[in-house]
Amino acid sequence: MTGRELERALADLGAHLEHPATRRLRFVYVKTDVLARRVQRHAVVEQTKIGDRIVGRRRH
Amino acid sequence: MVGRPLPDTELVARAKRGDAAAYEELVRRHQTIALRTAYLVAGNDADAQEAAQDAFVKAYRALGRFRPGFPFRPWLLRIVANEARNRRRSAGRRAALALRAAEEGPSGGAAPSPEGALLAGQERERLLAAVNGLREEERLVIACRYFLELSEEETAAALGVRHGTVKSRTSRALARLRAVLAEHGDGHVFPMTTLEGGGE
Repeated sequence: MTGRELERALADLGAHLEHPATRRLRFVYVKTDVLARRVQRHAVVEQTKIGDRIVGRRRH
Repeated sequence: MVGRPLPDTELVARAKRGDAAAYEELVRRHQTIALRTAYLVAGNDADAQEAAQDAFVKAYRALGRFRPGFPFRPWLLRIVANEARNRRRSAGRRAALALRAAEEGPSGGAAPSPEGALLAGQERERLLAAVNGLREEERLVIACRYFLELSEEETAAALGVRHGTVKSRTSRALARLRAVLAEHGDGHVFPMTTLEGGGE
C-alpha cells in the first residue's frame, strides 16, 4: 500500500468514526461568567461613583 | 447578528470588550470541531462534553492574553485538547477510537452489497486497531490531520508542538501503520475502492 492509499483509507476511516453527541454546549455557563463579570464591573463603577461623591463632599 | 458573518478576529475583539453575543457566536461557530477534538483526545462522550464546555469558559477568561491577528481556532483547540487530556489522565484511562455502531452506507452512492460492506467494515476495523495501537502522540497527530482534517499548522497549535514535529510524527505514524498492516494482512486497505467497485 502506498502512502497516498493509506491517507485515503484514514480519511475514510475518519468519516466512519463514532462522533460525540451533537447536543449544543450549555451557553448558560458562559453567560453566567459574562454576567458575573458585568455585575463585578458595574459594582466597581458604582463604588467609584460613590467614592467620587464622598470625595466631593469632603472637598466641600 | 445580521448581514455578512463577522470574521473571528472581529468577534474576538468584541468579546474582549465584553460583548457576550460575540463570544456566543464564536462558541456556536467552533463547538462542533471543539467537541470532536475533545472526543478524540478524551475517548468518551461525557468527558468530551465537559472538556469542551470548560475549554470555552477558560478561553473566554483568557481572551485578554489572546494575541490580536492570530487565528482563534487553533488557540481554542489547544485549550480544548489540554482540557480533554487532563480529564482522561485524571480518570486513568487510555483513549481508544471506535467505529459508529450503526454504520451507514457511503453518502451519495448505491448501497454496497452485504459482502462488500462486510469487507469494508473488516478493513476499517483493522485500520482502526492499528491506529489505536499507535503511541498516543502519534495517534493524536493522525486524528488531527485525517479525522479532524486540521492543517499542519492547526495540528501543531492544538497539540502544542512545533510544525516540524507534526511533520515528523505524521511520517513516523504513517510508516508504523503501513508496517502493522503489512504484518497482519495483505496490506489491501482500500475501503473506498472496495465500496465504489474501483478495483481490488
